[in-house]
Amino acid sequence: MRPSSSSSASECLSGRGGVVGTASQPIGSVPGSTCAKEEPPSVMPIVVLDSQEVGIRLIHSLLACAEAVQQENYKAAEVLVKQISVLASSQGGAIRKVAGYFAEALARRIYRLQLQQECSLDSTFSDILQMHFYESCPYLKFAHFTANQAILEAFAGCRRVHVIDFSMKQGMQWPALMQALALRHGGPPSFRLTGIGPPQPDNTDALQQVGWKLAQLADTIHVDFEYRGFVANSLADLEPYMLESPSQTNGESDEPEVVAINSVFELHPLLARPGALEKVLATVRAIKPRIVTIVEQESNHNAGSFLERFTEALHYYSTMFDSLEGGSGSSEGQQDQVMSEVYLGRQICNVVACEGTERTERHEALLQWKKRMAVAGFEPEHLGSNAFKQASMLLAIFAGGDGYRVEEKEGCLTLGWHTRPLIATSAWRLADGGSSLSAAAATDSH
Amino acid sequence: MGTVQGEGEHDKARGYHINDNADLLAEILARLDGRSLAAAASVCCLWRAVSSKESVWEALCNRHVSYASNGTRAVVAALGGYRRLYCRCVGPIADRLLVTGRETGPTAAVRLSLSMSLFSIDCYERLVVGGRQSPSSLLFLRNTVDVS
Repeated sequence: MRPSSSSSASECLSGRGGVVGTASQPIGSVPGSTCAKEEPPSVMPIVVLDSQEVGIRLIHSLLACAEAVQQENYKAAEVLVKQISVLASSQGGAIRKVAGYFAEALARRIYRLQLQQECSLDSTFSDILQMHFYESCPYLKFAHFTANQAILEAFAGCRRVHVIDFSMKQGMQWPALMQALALRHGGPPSFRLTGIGPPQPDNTDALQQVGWKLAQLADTIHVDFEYRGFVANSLADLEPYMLESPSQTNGESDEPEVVAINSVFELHPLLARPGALEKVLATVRAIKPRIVTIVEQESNHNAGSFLERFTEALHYYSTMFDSLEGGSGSSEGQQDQVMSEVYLGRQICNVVACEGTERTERHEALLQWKKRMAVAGFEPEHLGSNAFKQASMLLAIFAGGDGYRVEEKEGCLTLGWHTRPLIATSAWRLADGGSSLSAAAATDSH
Repeated sequence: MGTVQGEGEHDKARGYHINDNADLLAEILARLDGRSLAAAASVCCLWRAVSSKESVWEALCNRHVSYASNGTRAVVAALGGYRRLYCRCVGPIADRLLVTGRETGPTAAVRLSLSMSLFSIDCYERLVVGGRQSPSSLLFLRNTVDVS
């Protein structure tokens, strides 16, 4: 149930008074510890504060603080950060949480707190957080289902298939694909899966464990399954020879292997190091995949000034948090929601407080990814209507499903909350006519 | 859970009783909706046995979308059976989408693939050792719908 008294965070951002500007009151005269109702004598005292008005003032204060940080006016920023905390405490719901995370991130930036420990991704913990995010809202399920549909269609008629997953984590994407392969006309192909993941701090072989579970499932539904895990600090460490199929000396037929490459939220961190994305895309090209599926956040948190990035992120995460509100009443559902907010909060912290190679949450919008993929030698593969229908039905059965929107744009699918797209799935093939399998069938040459 | 011996003897004097033939009982129970079928399990031992038969739940699932092909039957059985498929996926989906009749055509195919995908995720989560107490990827299907 949504609390009826607080307005949604994104309403405050786009409602009346949505002009980006400086703070509406003198900066130096705000008392440090009193409640928001007290005003300095030069301003008319406000007796009753409308919650929505406080919400708007909260947004203004956040933006003013970001502007102060950009101008390196840290004294003013410090005062504003304290003001933000006070204003935020009078709000409820999504806007209080979003403001809290942004205020914390601003404080970290202002005080240059040691960010290495906090923002650096302890991969086990971030995996756990992402699992809760997977459970509590449909974004990751949407990503998996739409990508799987594209992969399934690309694998039509092939007897040997290979998926390389840049975002292996707990392997939640693959049971559904294996089931669909098991049920397809003509029976399942031999399915090989290569999972890429970061090194684990406690040296457990998480990738291998996930592989065992998937193998168990594949066994029950009689899908011929092979798995290999690769631990890599960065995707840029991968070379094509590592991922190619082993030589066909094991008695298999000459049937070539058809490859799909899948990346869910794994490309944007590469933008933190110059040349890394280009190297990875070159590696992808060298493997000659039939299809590449990419899911990324639909927002630009990477270009322009700090203030521009901050403003974009504020809009984006306000909408995200809004969509999480009004979730399940069960205790498990509430725990999922809280952990999802922590998951998103860590992203906010990284976007706002980090710089250079530490700032890995370098989200870019679909338009930018399209340009990058075109430069790297890929052309779009349109996601079919099946993907759209499955995604729409998935959202229809999700509680609170009224707010979610699936949209199709030039062959890509986006999932958003009300009018704001939040994540985008796109599919790609090699621009010179495709993988080695279809090269012989290509009608025009370059 | 009472027995029906006393009533049965009395009714036998009158003629046919519903518990006389388990196959016939299965045919009747297979026409119930999901909730009634689940409730039928607490009537008596025979009803509990008959209402847990996979064929009865398969018939119920098929009333929504056709799961009847041989390949599907094998995969459903491997992933946990028709009863689980109905209780975890098909039933909640039907409730959410407010669909009462049987669906055909492209929508039916989408419903089939969506429910099977969710079912396979449910099965995979049950393979996970440690960590969460209970699989919860399908928890969203059990949430109450906010109609305010």
